[in-house]
Amino acid sequence: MKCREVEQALATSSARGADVLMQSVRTHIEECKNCQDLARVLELPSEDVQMESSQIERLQKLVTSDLHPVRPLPPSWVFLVAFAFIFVGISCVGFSYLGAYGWFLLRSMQKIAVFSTLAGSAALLAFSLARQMVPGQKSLLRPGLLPVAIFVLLFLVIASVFQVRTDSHFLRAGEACLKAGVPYAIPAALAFWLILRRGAILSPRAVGAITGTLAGLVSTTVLEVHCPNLNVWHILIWHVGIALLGMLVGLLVAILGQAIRRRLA
Amino acid sequence: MQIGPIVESPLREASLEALFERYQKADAPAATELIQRLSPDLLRFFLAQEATRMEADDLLQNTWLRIHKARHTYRAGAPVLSWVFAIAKHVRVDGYRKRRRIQQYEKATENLPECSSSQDVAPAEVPMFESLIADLPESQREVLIMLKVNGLSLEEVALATSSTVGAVKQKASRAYAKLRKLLSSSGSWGTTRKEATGTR
Repeated sequence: MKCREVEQALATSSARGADVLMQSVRTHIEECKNCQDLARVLELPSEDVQMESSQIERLQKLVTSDLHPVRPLPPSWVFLVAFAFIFVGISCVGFSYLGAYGWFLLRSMQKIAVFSTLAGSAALLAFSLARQMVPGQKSLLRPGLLPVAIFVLLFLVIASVFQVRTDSHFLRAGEACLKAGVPYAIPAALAFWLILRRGAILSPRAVGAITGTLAGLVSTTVLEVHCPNLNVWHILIWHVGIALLGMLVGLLVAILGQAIRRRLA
Repeated sequence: MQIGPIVESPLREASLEALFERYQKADAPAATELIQRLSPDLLRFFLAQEATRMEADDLLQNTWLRIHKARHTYRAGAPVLSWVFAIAKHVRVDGYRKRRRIQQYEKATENLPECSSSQDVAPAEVPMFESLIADLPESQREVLIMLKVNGLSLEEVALATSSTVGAVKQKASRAYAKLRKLLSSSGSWGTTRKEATGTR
């Protein structure tokens, strides 16, 4: 057995001491001076914590003075369904109002690539938000990194399935898409916030950024169905750009909210 | 550890999960029992992360305020320790940021006499676990404290830090490798510790 394997064995034993270690690990520790030192560190006394009974009583008074029954949060799937309902609902309202001109111009391959990426991204964001409703939940990807990963993915997919086309009214067409798309992101963001305000207490900035991205993706989806402009730069800047704008606004709102709460505290 | 006179309570045998569910239903004895059981562990968690006693007491109070405010987010049957330590972790980070903000706005204190904060310094002759792990990166230190000081399981630490069991194992393993390096660089520590901890 090697010292490295001892480190791994110690890493898998949670309790103090080496009671739960395998015989082979114990034998190695008995023979190896380096590992003896390491194992001894884990048996060192932790700083003795003395708590006055008055301190405990003060905390108890703090909590019990404002004690009333609370309704626990529903299971995660309820939040996921709610997020999906808002996303799909507002998107449907959007392209049925604006018209699905872009949809009929897209090739099958483009439809599959773009809409499966949008759906997958929205699902990942919704899943992350549902997880963050409750403290101490597993997350596969750091919530702060998730929007970044999604933007990279969207950029790669869109850049690979659309081509550069001549666009003589790049700014004017972009402005029109912004005006058409943003009104769908705002109600989506408000609806998401109404759900999230009951939980998601730990990382307001990450939650703000993810919520903003998800609301922005509602606009992106509406524009992908509606907009007949298939120029890759138009899609990246004016369609995906709304989601990016949503992320920045969400982050800003969260930072402002934190600052206001700090001032009031 | 002294937590004042221990009063025998019928809730003494109840699990943390059962107590927390009763706390959600506004059961005051369950709330007081939870505070009595969890506070020393939380205080130790804060003290182990380079906080002074006064800061740790503040962080403990803030943690209980946050726990109380967010108690509806606890789901029946979920491990209480992961839930509580996830909150404590964030309270500590917020506390650290707040301290840094205050330090930035404070006036320079070069002219003030240096004071020795004897109450915050551990006795010198026996090195503490906390002082040995002080040089580890924050994420590794946090994992090691939860595992070895607070006695959380790998699964509980993974939940509290929003990561996976594999990531926790990896962090702990890296922390041990660093500790080994620290120990070998400090040289004579092994022999002196043998004498100091001979009875253990």
